[in-house]
Amino acid sequence: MTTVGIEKIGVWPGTLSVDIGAICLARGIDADNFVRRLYCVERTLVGPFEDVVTMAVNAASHVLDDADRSAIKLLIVATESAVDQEKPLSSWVHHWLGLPADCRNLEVKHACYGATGAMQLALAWLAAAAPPGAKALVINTDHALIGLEGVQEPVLGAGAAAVLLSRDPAFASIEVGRSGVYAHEVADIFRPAPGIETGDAEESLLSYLDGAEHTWEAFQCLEPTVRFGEDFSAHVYHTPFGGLAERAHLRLCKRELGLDRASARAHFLAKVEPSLTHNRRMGGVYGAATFVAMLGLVEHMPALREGDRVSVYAYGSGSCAELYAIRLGARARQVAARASLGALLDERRSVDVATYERCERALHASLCAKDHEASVDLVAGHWESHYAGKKRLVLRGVREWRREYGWS
Amino acid sequence: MNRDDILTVVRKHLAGVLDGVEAASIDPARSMKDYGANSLDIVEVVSASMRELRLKVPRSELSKLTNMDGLVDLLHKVATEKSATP
Repeated sequence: MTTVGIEKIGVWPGTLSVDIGAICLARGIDADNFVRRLYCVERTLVGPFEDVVTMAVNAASHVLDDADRSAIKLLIVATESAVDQEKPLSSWVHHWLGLPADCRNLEVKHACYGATGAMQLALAWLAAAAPPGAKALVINTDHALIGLEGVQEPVLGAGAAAVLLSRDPAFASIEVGRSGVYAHEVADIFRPAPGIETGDAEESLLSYLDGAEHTWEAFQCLEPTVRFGEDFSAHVYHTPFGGLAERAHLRLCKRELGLDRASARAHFLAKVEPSLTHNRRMGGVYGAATFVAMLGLVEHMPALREGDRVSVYAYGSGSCAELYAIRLGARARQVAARASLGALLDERRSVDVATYERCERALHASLCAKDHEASVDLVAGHWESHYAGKKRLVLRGVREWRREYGWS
Repeated sequence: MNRDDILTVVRKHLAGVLDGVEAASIDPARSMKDYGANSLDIVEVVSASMRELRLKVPRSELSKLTNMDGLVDLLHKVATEKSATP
């Protein structure tokens, strides 16, 4: 079968952040639990000039070159934060990325699983039916809905990841057709109306952890000789927050390797924790989380080599989970360097809790607005420091329901 | 599967997620929170126990519980009902 996989990854972590410890302090809750035990250090905010469209475009635009753009014949944008119930986000993304007119595009939704499912479909298309030289672009773009003072507030976040798929998997090849899938209907976390996210967080944690075991069992059915320890150099998990990835890994270590708690935790620190480097600074980034974690792993686990096998566990509420395997490509570190996610994270402006709350309220108010003006006054000086002259896609406003974008 | 078997499984998984807690010393009349468990720890203990015992209990039932005895009773009830089903 043709080798296919990830040629490039780009991530947009926004331009504003807030410390989770500061949020915990303001709410009177245990900061140590969230920051140290659950790996929640900072979160990305959606500033006044951004939305899911700008985040998607800004994730991809800095890693694609002109040859990529002309070769992309399939664009899929996954989101649970769509700004329109008819027009797909992919129409705006297709336009602002300058993709060709013969590029098929659509938006998909399956909570945090959407991008993974879309990627598998796109890889099958690449392996079986795409014209020579064609590439596919899959993007996940999402932000938390307003959650001020809610129980989940310290684990919320925002961001986008763009994954360029091709027959030249410089970053990582993917074993198409070898996936452990586990789907079951559950009412864990859901968005039943615009601007509303509700459900049962603990149900979601239970479903996520069950999925980790079920997908591993399904993977074993496809590869009966597979060994959890020896056959994988590292493991990537969907990361609503790092503490949940840790739980999933500890459980699989105990079950598959018979490790006690201390040994399982050492295994986690060696094989998983490096992947959380960037996630812990963005907060929950929905379907982008596994791709953000892949970048963190490649950059912060020096022992990884070309050809090393890594398991990836994806989970989306509702629910569908999938465990698949990637093999690191020859230019994985160069691809990660070009994504320069660490630098983008460092470049963000850290704001205080009062400013964070203002941004969240402004975003919430904009979601269903007939008219909306992107406010340069919301965060003083932010346009000048982070957008002016930097050629980033920005939301200018909404007029008579029509969204207006432009380059900064 | 009797009630003591279920208690042993729950104790084992609680001791497995906490540092410095011996399974045998866990008093089921107390809440897991009394031993320092956070909400994620509790979810982990409940989930791992259900998986090992091959039982499924609705979240709506779990949310009413106040201590480990309540959890063990509930799991025992579900196990008994399951074994009685032809």
